[in-house]
Amino acid sequence: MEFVRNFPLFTIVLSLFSSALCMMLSGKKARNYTIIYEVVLIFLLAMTVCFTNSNGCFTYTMGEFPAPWGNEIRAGLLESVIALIFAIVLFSSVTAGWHFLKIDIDESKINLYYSLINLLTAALMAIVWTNDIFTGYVFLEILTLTSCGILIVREIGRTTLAAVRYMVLNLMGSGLFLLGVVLLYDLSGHLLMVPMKKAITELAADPQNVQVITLSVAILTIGLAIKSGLFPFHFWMPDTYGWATPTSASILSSLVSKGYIFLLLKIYCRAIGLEFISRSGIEAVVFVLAVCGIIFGSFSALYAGNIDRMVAFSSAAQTGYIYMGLGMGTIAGLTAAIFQIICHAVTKSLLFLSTPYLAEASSNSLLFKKLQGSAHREKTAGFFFTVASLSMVGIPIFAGFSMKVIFADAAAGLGGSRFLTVMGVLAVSSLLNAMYFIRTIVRIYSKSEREEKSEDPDSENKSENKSENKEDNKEEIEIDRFSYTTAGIILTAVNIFLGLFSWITVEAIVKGLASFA
Amino acid sequence: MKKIFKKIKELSSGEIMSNILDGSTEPDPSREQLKEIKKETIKSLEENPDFEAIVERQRKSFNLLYYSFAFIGSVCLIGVLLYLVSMLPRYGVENPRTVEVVKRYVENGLEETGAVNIVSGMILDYRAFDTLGESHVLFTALICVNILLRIDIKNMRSDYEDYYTIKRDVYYDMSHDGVLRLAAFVFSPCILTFGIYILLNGQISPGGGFSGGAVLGAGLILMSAGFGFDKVDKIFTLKINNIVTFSALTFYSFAKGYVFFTGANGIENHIPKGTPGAILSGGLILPLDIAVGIVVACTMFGFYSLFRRGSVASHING
Amino acid sequence: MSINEAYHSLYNVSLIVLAILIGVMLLKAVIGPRVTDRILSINMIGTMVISAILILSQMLEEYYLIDVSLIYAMISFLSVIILAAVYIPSKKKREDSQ
Repeated sequence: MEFVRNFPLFTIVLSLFSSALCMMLSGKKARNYTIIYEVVLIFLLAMTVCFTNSNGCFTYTMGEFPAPWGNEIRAGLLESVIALIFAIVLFSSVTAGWHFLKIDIDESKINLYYSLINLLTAALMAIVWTNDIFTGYVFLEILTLTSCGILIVREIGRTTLAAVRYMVLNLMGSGLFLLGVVLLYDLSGHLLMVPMKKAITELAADPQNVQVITLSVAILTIGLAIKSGLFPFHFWMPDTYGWATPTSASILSSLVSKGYIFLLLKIYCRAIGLEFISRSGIEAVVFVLAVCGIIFGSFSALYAGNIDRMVAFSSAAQTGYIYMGLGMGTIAGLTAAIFQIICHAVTKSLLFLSTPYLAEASSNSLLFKKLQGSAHREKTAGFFFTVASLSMVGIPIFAGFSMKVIFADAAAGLGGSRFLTVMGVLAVSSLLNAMYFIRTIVRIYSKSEREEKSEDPDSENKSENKSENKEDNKEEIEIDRFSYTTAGIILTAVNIFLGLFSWITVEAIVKGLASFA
Repeated sequence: MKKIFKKIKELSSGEIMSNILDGSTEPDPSREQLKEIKKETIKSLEENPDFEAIVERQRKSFNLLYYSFAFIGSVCLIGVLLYLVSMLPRYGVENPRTVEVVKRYVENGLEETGAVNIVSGMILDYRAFDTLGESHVLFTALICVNILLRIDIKNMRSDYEDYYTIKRDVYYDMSHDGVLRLAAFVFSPCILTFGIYILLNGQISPGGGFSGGAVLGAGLILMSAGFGFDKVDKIFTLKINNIVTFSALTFYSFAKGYVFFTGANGIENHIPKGTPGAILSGGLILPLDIAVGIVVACTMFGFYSLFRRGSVASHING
Repeated sequence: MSINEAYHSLYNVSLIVLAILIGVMLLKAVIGPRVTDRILSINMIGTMVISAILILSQMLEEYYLIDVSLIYAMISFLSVIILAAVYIPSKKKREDSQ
C-alpha cells in the first residue's frame, strides 16, 4: 500500500500536534513554525491530488475495525483539490496579515492565536476528509470555537460585540445540526455516510417515513445555513468580517463558511442521496432562498457605509451563488457550485487582505470618503484590490467570468422557469456587482481635490505616520510588505489560472464528483 | 427633531456612523466648530426631553416584537420536534436495521477491546477519532478563556487598573478561615485519591478520563480555597501546566495516530489487551484515560484560577 | 405481603416524597430574594439527590451507583464553599471596602 494513502491522516494529526506546540512556543517562533508547517501541508496535499488523480478515491480505516463499526475517512480527487485550495488560502492569509496582527493583538497572546489557527486547519482538513457524520459534528464544534476565538482576540469593543453575536448564532446552528444528526441516526441506525444512505433509501420507499426524513434533513440544513450565511441568516456577516483583524477576516470569509457548505454538500451526496433531496422539495426552498440572498446581498452592498461592510455583503451574495448551484439539483449545478467555492475562496481573501492596507494609508479609516485616492498612496494594495474586484464583477480574464459562464451552462440543462430565473439573477447581480465594485475602484484611483490643492494638513498626518514608522524597524516593514506581495501574487496567479484555464479545474471537479457519492 | 439627529451624526466619529451615500467632499468641521456643535446639541437635548421618551418607546416596542417572535419561534420548534419524535419508526431489537451497529459493540465488545466497560471501549477504541476531536475541543476552550481573561503583568494595557484588580482579588482569600482549612486538610487527599481511582478504573467500572479529571480538578480547587493560592502555586506552576497539557495532548495524538496508521495499513499493532477486569487491561484505554484526565484536571483548575484572579498560575511567572 | 414487596413500596414512596421536596426546593431557589436562600436551596437539592441515588442503588441492586453519590456529595460541598466565598463578603473584605 502506497505511503501517500496516509497523507490525509497526517494532515489532521500533524495540525493537532502543531496547535499544542504553538501554545508552548513564544510569539514569533509560533508564527515561523506555522508558516513552515503550512508549506509542508501544501506539499502533502499536492502529492495527494496527483495520487488521487491517477488512482481514484480510496477509503482509509481509522483503526482496525471496518466500516460501520469503526471510523473511516475517504480521499478522492474532489476532496484533495478543495483541501489544497484551502491550504493555499490559509498560507496566504497567515503570511500577509502579520503586519496588522502585531498592532491588533496583545503581544503575549500571539502564540495562542497561532495555536487557534492550527486547530482551525485540523478541523477544516477533518471536515473535508470525513466519511462519518458524527466526526463531522465534532470537528464542526472545533471549527465554531476556533472561529470565535480568532475573532475575539482583537480586544476592541465592537469586535467583542460582533464576536458574541457570531458565537450565539453559530451555537444555534450547531444545535440544530446536532438535532438533525441525532434524528437521522435514530431513523437509520448508522453514523457512517454510505450505510446511512442505504438505510434511508430503504426507508424512503415507504411513504409514511418521507415526512420524517424530510423534516430531519431540513433541520440539519437550517443549522448549516445559519453558520454559512444563506439568505435570512446573513446579517451577522458585516459586523463579523468588518471588525476582525485581516488574517481572521479572510480566513473566516473564505474558508470557514466554505467548510460548512462542503460538509452540507457531502451529506447531501453521500448520506442522503440527491434524488431524495429533489423529490422532497428541500432543493426548491434552497434555490429560492439563494436567489433572494444574491439580490438582497447585492442591494445591501450598494448602500454600505464603509468598504469592509461592502465586501462582507458581497460575500453574502456570493454564498447565494453556491447555494443556487446546490439548488439546481443536477451534476452540472453541483460542478458550478464547487467551482464557485474555489473561486470565491481565492478572491475574497485577496479583498480582505488588501483593504486594511488601503485604510492604513488613509489615516486608518475605512470610510469611502477618506479612501479616495488611496490606491496612489499604496500601489500594491490598490493593484490587488482592483484585480480581485474585477474578478468579482466578471471581467473575462479572471475567475469570476468563468464562474458565471459555468453557471449559465448548468442552467441551460434545466427546464423553463428555473433557467429563466438563473439567467435573470446572473444578469442583475453582475450589474449590481459592477455598480458597487467599479465605483469603489474609481474612487480609490481618483485623487480628491483636497489632496491636489493643499498639502499642509495631509503632510502633517504623513509626517506623524512616518515618525511612528521610524520607531519600528524599517527592515520589518520591508519584510511585511514583501510577504504581502508574495501572498497577493500567489492568489492572483490562482485566480488567473482559474479564469484562463478553467476547463482543467472543471474536468477535475467532474471526475471527483463521479466518485464522490 | 431632524436637526438633532443631523447634529448627532456630525458629532460622532467616523467609525460609528456612516454618512457616505452622497460621497460629499466638503471639509470636516474644525475642532472649535465641533465643540460649539456639541454644546448646542447638549443644550437642545436638555430642553427637549421628548427625545429620550421617543427612544424609550422605540426600545419598548422593539423588545415586545423581539420577545414575541422569540416565543413564537421556540413554540414552533418545540411543536415540530415533538411531532417528529412521535412519528419516528420503532427502535430496538424488533427493527434489526437500527441495531446492526450496536449489536456488535454489545456482543463482541469485551473480546475485541478488552474492556469490561463497553462505553469506554467504544469511545476509546471503536470510535477513537471522535474522542480525539473532543479532547481538543476542551483544549480550544482553554485557549479561548486564556485569551479573554488572562492578565499579563508584563504587557498590561492599563497598569493601574489591572494591578489593583490583582491586589484586591488576592485579598478575598478564604484561607484565614480555620474551619475551612481543617476541612480542606482532611478532605483534599480523599478527593484526589478518589479522582485517581475513577481515572484508573475507566475500563472496568463507570468512570474514565473526563470524569476522573473533573474530580481531580475539584480537589485542586478545594486545596486552593482552603490553603490559599500561594500554597497551590508552589506545586502547580505555569510551567507544569504548559508541559503537562502539551505532553498529554501530544501523547494522545501520536498514540492514536499510530493506531490508525497500523490499522489502516494492515500492520499488527503490538498493544496487549490484557485480562478483562484487571487494571492493566483494555490495550491503550488506560494510558489515554490518564492523558485525558490530567488535561481535564489542569483545564478545570485553570478556568477557576482565571476567573478568580486572571492567571492560571502565579502572576510572578506571568 | 412479603418482606421484599414491603421494601419496594417503601423505596417507591420515599422516592416520590423526595421528588416533591426537590421540586419545592427548586421553587425556593427561583423565588428566594436573597443570594443565601438560593445557595442553601441548591445545597439541599444536592443532599436529597444523594439520598435518592442511594435508595435507587439499593432498589436496583447495582452497587456501583454508590460511587456516583460520593461524587455528588463532593460537588455540593465544594460548590457551597466557593459560591459563599464569591457572594458573601467576609469581615476582612467588608473592612477593606469601608
